[in-house]
Amino acid sequence: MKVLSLRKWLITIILLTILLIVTVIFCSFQGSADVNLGDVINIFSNPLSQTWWNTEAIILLKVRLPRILLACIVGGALAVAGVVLQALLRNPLADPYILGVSSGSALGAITAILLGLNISIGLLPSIPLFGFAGGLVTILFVYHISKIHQKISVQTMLLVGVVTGAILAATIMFITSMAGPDKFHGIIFWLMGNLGSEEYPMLVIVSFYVLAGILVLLYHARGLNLLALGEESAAQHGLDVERAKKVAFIGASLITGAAVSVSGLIGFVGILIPHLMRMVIGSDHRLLLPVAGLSGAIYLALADTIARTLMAPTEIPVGVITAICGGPFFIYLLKRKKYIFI
Amino acid sequence: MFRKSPTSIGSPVGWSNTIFIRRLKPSATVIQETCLSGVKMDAIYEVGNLRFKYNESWVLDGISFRVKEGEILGIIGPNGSGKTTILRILSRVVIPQEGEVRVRGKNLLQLRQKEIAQTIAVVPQDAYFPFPITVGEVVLMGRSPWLSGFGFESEIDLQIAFQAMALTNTLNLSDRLILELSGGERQRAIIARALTQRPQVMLLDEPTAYLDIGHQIEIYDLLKKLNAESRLTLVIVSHDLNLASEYCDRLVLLCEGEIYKMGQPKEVITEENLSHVYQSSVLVEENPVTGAPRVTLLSKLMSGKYCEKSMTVHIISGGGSGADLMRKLIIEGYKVTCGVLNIGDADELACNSLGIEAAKEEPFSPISVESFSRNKTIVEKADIVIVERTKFGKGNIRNLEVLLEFPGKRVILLENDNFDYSGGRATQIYEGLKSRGAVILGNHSEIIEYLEEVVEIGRERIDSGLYG
Repeated sequence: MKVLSLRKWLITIILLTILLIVTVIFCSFQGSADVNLGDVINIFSNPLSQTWWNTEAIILLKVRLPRILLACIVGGALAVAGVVLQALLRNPLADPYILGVSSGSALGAITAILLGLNISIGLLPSIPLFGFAGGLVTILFVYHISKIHQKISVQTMLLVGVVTGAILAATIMFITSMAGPDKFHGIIFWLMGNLGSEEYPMLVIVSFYVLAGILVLLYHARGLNLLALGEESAAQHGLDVERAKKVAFIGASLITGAAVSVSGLIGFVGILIPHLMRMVIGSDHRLLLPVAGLSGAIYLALADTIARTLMAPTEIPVGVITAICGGPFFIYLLKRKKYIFI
Repeated sequence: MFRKSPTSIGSPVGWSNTIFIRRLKPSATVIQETCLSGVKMDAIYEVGNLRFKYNESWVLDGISFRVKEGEILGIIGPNGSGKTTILRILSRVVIPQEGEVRVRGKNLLQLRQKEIAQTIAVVPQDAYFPFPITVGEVVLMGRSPWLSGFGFESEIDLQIAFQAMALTNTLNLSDRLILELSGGERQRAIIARALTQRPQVMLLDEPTAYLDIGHQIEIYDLLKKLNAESRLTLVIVSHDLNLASEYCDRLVLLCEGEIYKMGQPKEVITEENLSHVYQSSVLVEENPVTGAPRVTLLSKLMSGKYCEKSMTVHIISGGGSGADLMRKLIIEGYKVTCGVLNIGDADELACNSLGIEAAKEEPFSPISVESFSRNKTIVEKADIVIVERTKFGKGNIRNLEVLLEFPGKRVILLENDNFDYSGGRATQIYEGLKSRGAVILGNHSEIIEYLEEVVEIGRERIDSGLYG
C-alpha cells in the first residue's frame, strides 16, 4: 500500500524547491538584454555600492528578479487557492476566481486606475491596495450571504460567489466601456494580467502575506482531505467542519485577492496546476497543497519568461501563455492517464 | 439478546488481544480502556424522548430506545419514517430539539467532535469521492479522529488500517482507485475505513442499498462476523426487511416518527405490524433454514381482485406443479381450492401463502379415507376441476378417483405424458374423463381463456333468465 510518510513528503518538497530555485536562476538569464553568469559573479563579488548602478545589475536585480519572484508568488498562490477551493466546494471545476474575489479585486484596481490615483500609501502604490480592498469586501459579502443559521452552506456559497462575480464583471465591463481611450488601454492591460509592474516593497509584503496564508492552509490540509468527502462524513471523522470551511474559504480567498491585486487576472494556473498535480501525486492535500504551490510558482515563472522573451520587445500577455502551453498538455495527460471524475 | 459466552471476551479474535496495542500512543491506550469497560454489560446508547424536526413538522416524535453493547440493532420503517434522521442524530450531524442521547452514559452534546468519531463510526449509504483517491488512502482516513494537526500516520495507524482491510478482504485493492471498484468492493472499503476508526459502535445507513443479492449477503455476513468476533455493536438502518430480520438481534419498527414496535425480529416482523406500517399486504412465514421471519410482498392487484368472480375452481396437483396456476387464477379473481396435498409439499405451502382452502394429509403419507372425504366435500362445491400436470401413483391416485364420485362435474385436463405410476389406474381414469367430455388444454393461458368463456356463458344465462 502506498502511504504518505514524512520522508516521502520531505523528499518531494525539497526536490521541487531545488527545481524552483533552478528555474528562478534560469529565468534570470533570459531576456532581450544579455546578462550572463560572469556579470552576476561580477555584481556580487564587488561591493554593492560600486556595482549597483551598472546596467547588468539593474536589469537583473531591479527588473528581472522582482518580476520572476512575483511570478512565483502569484503562481503559488493561485495554484494553492485552486486546490483548496476544489476541495472545499467538492467540485473539480472550481478555480481561484470562482467565488468572485478576483472580480472584486479587479474592480478595486480598475477604480484606482480610473481615478488616476497615483498616490502611494507609505511605499505601496495605490492600485494593488485598492485591488486588495475590493477583494476583501467581496469575500466578506459572499461569506455573510452564505451563512445560514451560523453555518456556511457550500452550495449557497458557490452560487452567491458566481453571481457576485458576474455582477462585478458586468460592472467592470461597464466602467471599461465608459473609460476614455487613455484609461481604456491601462484597464485592459491590467485585466489581462501582468507581472512586470511591482517593486520590492510590494513584493515583500505580498510574499509574506501569501506564504503565511499557504502555511495556515497547509496546517489544515488533513481537514481538506476530509472535507472532500462531504461535510457529514468529515464531521463523522472528527473534523470541526465549520471551522475548517471558514479557514479554507477565507485563506484561499485572501491569497487569491493578494495575487490578483498585484498581477491582474492570470487565468488557468489555478485550475491546471491543481489537476495536473492530482494526476501525478494523488489527492492527499498534505502533499498536494505544497506541491501545487511549488509547481504553480515554477509554471508561472516559466510562462512569464516566455511571455516577455518570445516576441521581445513586445510582451505577450502571460495568461495567453499559461493557457496555450498548459491546455494541450493537460488534455494529453487526461487522455493518457486514468483520471476519473464522477 | 445476542451475547457471547464470557470466555470469548478474551479470545484472540477480539480487539483486546490484537498485537498492535502498545503503550506508544494515546490511541492504543484508549483502545485498551474501551475493551476493559466492554466487559461490563452496558448500553452503548440511551436515547430518551427524542423529538426532531427539520422544518415545521416533527420527523421524530418522542423516540426512546437503548442500544445494548454487542448487539445488532436494526431500524426499519417506510420512507420518511425517520430512520436516517435517527442515525444522523446518533452521530451528532444534527441535534434534536428535544430529548437526550447518551453514549456510554455521557451526553452526546458534551463530547468533542473527535471523541465522537473515536467512539462512533458511520457507514453512509453512498460515499462520494469528487477526486481520484486510492482505497488505501480512504481506509487510512479512518485514523483521522486519532491524529492531530498536520499529522502523518504512525506505524500503529498503518497496522490498524491493515488489520481492518484484512478483515474486510480489501488488502489486495489498496492501491486501486476507489471509483474503479464495484459497488460491493467499495462498500467493503468504506466498512474498512469505519473499522479503522476503532469505534465501539458502527452506524450503517442502508449498507446494501445499491448492491445485488450476492453482495448484500456478503456485506451482512461480514457485519455479522465483525459483531461476533470483535463484539462490535451495530446499528443498521435498512429497507430490506428480510435481511434485517435475518441478521439483527433486535429491531425497531418506525412509523411516522414514532416507534411502532421494538423487539426481536419475531415480535416485530408480523403480518399485522407490517401491513399497518407499510400500508400493504404482506405474507410473513418462517424461513425454513434459519427460523427467522421471512416477508413476501403480495401484489395489490392480487388482493384487490381476490374472489371477484363467483366461480370456484378446484386444482388437482402436488409437488409444486399447481402453485403457478393457483396464483394465476387468484389474480384472475377465481376462488380456488385444492386437494389432497401432503403437508410440507410445495403446493401446500403455496396454498397457505395464497390463503387457498385445501384438504391436507400428513407429510409423505398416502391419502387416507378421512382426507379423501374432506376433499370430496371441497370438490363438490367446485364449479370446475383442473387436473394439473402431475404424476399419479398409489399415494395420490385418490385425488383422481374423487372425480368418479361426480360424473357431471366439468373437468379440464392439462396435456400430460408419463404421469401414470399407479399401474394403469390413472390412465384408465383419464380415458374415462375424456370419454365423458373433459376438455384437454395445452397451457395455462388456454385455461384462463376457457374459464373466461365459461364465466361469460354463465352470465348470459343469468341475464336471459335461464338460471333462476
